[in-house]
Amino acid sequence: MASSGRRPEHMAPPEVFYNQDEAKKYSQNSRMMEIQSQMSERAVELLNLPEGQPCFLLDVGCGSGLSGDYLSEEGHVWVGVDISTAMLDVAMEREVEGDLVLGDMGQGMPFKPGTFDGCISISALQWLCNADKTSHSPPKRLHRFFSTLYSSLSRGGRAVFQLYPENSEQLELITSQAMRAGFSGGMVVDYPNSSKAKKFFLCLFAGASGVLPKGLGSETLARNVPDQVQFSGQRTRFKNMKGKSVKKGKDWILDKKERRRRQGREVRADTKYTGRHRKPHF
Amino acid sequence: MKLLTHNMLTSHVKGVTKGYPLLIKATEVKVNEVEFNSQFVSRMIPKLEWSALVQAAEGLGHLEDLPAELVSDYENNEEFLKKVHKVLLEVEVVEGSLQCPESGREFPISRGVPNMLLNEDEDVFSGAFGPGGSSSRLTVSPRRLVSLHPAGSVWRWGRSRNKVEN
Repeated sequence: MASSGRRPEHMAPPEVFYNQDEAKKYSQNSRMMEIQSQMSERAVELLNLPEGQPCFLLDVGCGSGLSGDYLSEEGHVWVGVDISTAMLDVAMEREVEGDLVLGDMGQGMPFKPGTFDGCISISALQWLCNADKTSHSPPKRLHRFFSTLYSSLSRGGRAVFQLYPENSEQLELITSQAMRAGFSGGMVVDYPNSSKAKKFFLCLFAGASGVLPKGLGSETLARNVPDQVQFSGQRTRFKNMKGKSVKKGKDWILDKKERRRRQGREVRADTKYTGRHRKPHF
Repeated sequence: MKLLTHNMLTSHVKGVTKGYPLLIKATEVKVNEVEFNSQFVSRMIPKLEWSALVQAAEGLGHLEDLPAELVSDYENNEEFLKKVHKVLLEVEVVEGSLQCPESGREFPISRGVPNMLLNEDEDVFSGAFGPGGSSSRLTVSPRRLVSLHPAGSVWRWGRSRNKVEN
């Protein structure tokens, strides 16, 4: 969605952008559906709910209820909030198990204090950063959203937001407003070395502080020593190739596999056959 | 809308301090079978506003003999939990409206979805700043965007392609 083309939140307000045509995609396009359910799976993992216990969860920007389906599968009961009637209509057609509410995040969450055990939100938070009407002020709407969300979560509850931040200023605005509302926590970035598989999750804790989980595929970052230039044999590698093609050696193959592993892609394990010459066939 | 959701919903109109419980005016109610989970129901009971639940259930005509006061030791009382389960998760309001007890504002319910959207003048921020005060989008200018976008290295990629693979 956001990886190619214009960002949808620049085109129109959410209640206009997610019209019937756009909503239809979320019930028919299998690639979109797969990505949505993968992200909700990861978000629920980050929520770190107690095992084997059915929880009462809030889904902000539930849309057609794809993320809710995953929650129902896990045995949780959920309430979904969305601003687009077309998307909620699709959710009704799909007969999702959760309860749906038509509401605007920026006007606050209309729930009693201490209601939910957790909150997830898939690709919704970035919509709050735009002012679609003259009366809208993104910082104020963000603050209103986070402060009402904070009160509606039970103590020790977590909120996980998957989002596509536009730039670092936007991220800073979102996190600072969340901290002002009383949340602790921070960003978890999955696959930081890949431009496509990279995913941002904002993990917030209400009340009790927890340890921020590690992003997937980010282990290699910790190895770097700051303030020192590391030796890299990048240039010398090609000196002793002597006329051989650069892209066919065993080293090159191993290197490429390692690179793709860092990007979080599926790569076959290295074996003794990797990059080995084949016997000459006549 | 299930009665569990109704028990959690409050009115958030500007100037309202409590806005709870919302008054249900239902024109269509249906009962939908849902799988019973005793653990979930007994976990939810302490979070409920019991009197509001009884009042709402009575109004819809689906009281199911719920007592006016919450019984003690409900965790092991399966019969009681089943009754609560039915009222909480199976009874649904399909058409009607919710009324805020303080301001009298009505939130319509259509096809089971309550509409909690506020008009601009009911929003907490209304009147906080003049018209046009925040008309500019908060996002940075497009030129700035290109340089900051995570995938912004597209053009650089083309330039360095002829160089040594690294």
